[in-house]
Amino acid sequence: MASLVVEGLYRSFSDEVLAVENVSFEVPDGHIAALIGPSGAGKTSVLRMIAGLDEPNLGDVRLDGHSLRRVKPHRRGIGMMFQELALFPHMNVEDNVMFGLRMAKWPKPARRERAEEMLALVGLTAFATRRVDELSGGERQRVALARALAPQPGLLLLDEPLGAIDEERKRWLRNELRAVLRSVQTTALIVSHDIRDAVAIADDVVVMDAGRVLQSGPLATVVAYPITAEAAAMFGYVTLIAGEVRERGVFEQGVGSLPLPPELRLTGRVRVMAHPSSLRAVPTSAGESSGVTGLVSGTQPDGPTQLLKIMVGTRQLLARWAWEGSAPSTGSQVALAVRSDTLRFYAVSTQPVLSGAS
Amino acid sequence: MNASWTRRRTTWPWAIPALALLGPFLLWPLGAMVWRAVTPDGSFSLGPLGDVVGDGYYWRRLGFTAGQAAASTALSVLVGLPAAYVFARLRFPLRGFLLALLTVPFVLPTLVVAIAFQQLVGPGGWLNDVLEAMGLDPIRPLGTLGIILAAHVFYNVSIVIRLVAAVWRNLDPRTEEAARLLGAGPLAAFRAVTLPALTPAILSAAALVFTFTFTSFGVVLILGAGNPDLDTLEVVVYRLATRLVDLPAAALVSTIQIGATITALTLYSYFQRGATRSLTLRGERSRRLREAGWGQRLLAFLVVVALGVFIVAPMAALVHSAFTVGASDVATLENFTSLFDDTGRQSFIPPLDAVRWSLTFAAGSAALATVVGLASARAIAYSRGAFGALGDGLLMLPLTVPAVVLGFGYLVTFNRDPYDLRGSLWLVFAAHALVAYPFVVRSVLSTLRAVDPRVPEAARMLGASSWTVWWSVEFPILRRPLLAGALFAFAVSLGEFGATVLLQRREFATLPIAIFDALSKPGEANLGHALAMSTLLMAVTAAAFLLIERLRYRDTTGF
Repeated sequence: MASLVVEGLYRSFSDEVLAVENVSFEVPDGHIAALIGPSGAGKTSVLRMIAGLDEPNLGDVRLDGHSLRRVKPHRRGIGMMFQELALFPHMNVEDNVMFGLRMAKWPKPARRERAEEMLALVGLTAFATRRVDELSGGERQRVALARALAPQPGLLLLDEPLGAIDEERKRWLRNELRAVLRSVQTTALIVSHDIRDAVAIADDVVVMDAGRVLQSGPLATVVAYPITAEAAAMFGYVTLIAGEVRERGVFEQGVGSLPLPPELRLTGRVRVMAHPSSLRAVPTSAGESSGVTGLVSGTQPDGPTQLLKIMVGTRQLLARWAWEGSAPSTGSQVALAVRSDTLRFYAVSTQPVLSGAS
Repeated sequence: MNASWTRRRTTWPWAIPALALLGPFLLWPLGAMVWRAVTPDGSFSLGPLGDVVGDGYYWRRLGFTAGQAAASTALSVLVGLPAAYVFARLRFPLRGFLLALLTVPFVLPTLVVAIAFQQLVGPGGWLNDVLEAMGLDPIRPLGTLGIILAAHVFYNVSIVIRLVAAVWRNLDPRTEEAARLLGAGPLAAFRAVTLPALTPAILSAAALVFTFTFTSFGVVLILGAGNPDLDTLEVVVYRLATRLVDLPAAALVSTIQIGATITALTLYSYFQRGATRSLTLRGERSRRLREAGWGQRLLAFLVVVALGVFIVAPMAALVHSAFTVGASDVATLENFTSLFDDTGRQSFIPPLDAVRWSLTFAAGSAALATVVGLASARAIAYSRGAFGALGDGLLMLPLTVPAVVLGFGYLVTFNRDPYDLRGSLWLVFAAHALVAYPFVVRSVLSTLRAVDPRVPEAARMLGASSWTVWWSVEFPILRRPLLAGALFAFAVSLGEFGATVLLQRREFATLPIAIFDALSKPGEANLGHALAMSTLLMAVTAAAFLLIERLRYRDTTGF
């Protein structure tokens, strides 16, 4: 186990294009962190610089306080699970898992014992002598994990560990991955473009976009209080109003208005966002209406309730209709109910502002 | 953008071994030869060019060379297509073995093939025995175009079968079935759906066959039986070069040869790209023979039997003759045992020495070709853009230069101080390594490209130093294709004739030279020796080839 500090990493693809710009974050000892962001955000670049496979133009990576700047990749004591898995095609499962131990000059019996232990951990005990090209995608995934974990790395890097798995099995594998990482108590950094991976597995989260870190911190905090509209969107927040501040409220033509909390000193253009889990569709006449309205563009039964597709201005969002009686027909107007303390306000300018609900 | 392991590496040092071989032993001799063609008397002159252009003889030879190559190509495609269908679409016992058997001629030395055909169709050969048994008049095909074309088809039909079947196998038969349900007859469906998909593969195979037959030498020299109307340009170069009468003309004809082969091979590369592009990777969709219709079964039977006889008969005839020529009636080992008996034949090339020199050249040039080939494969696999394209081109270059032309180039280049290497065995060595190394590159490259660049990276992350990564990860992955490439190089060197015949000296003559020598001498004993040596050469190269087939990964893309 080890703590990871990433300090001001820069890396350019060419003279003009920065792939990664001033990336800093920390992962405390024994924590599982998720590095999330859309494709091309620079996540894999950061991972490869931590691993030592690519060199940063500027910045440093420290493991337990020691700078890794002059340490070659094979001496860093970092394990990595590649997105493409990169299993050794000429070795069987067991030899793949034992490779790192061989490199670390473990005696043979100890290697075998450790490999058995690792294969048991990922549920592949019976596969030890199989060729890797005889395995299914999920089985290979687990071999790659066992291989990366076997030498007891201080830090484990996982690049899109669930990337190649179909949606149905992902949910199960997320839990399994979390259980395995928990049981070996290693510090881990998982790169994913899928926020659900982070939510299911990680303690901490680092949000990246366009080569920069938007926000990092404990998962619960980051998810509840995204620091920018981009980060919020990544966590699934939807925009209720994109309008202007007028008389202590945010107003959008044709949509409605929401009151601006008095402690927020925002002016000009503002986006008000909320997580869909805190939204409900209600009749316009209901007292719960927040002041935002939209037109029903479709309905979708969900158990005893209905999910309504609602056009709010030019944006479509989903909200649950849990009202008595049948759902409103397409084209009719509905209002949205939302708890005011779950609203997040973002200035549409260069400077992001965190809502003050806490 | 993720493949930065390869990106970060400087790849050009890997090209050094190839350049060290290609520069002095390919580019320089070729340049010198072209120079020679335009400076007949030490000063620049287009005179010899005019002489050659104005001489109807060269035009006729060029016309004949291209014509026989075109005919050989057309015949190979015609015979190869139905066979490609059978091997791609039907499953039957021994299919893999039969395909390997049909491909054996590809590695056989030209001289051996020529002699095998000679024995099959010559006076007293099996062909005439059969004709006689059927009550027909015997034929004398030696010295006719027909026998040359037959030998060319024997040689090259496997190229068509392999390249086309590889694509055909991966075509979804349901597209043709869909065309049938939309109202197309079987022939119309084939023409509308299957044929267009196969066309790039057919054209690329045709371009390759055309190249090989355009530069045909040993086959024409032996089976043409001295008929000057059957001389290909390659034979013309040989005659001009050995008589040393008209070197500028030889140089010029060589230049034409190279131009033609470069054109054909460029076409091959172009079509080959198309062929691989149309390749959608799906599981093989072949049908068991038992489930096939009567037409398909008949076709399979005809292909296997007819092609099998066509391929096996000359080889069998050679072996048969080797055991019977000179013997009264029953088979005898006489021709083989007397190979090792030098007494009383001082004027000839001692067969045992020829074997020794052949093995020496083959082992040495295979080793050199393996080292150079591995390095070049890495340079090509890990470089991109212009350098990668250039590397690919350089790799193809030795394949484009006809062997006789190469040997002739050496003769006119390494003939004065300080590079006077006339009669040096190092030139033979260099020529063999040069013609052999592209086979190593091809063998290694496909595997190298199929291996995820992150595999070595993964080894790095597990604590392996870069040397350990090579030794315990990359080398084991490449071991099989590397060995296959080395064997291929070995077989190519063993059979090399065109360049060697111009560069050899009696002191280090190889087996093909000894065979050629024995063949040109009168008497049954000499013929017996030529046959015995050919049989040995055939056995060794065929065995090497079958070993190569076993070493190939079943599917290099499917790790």
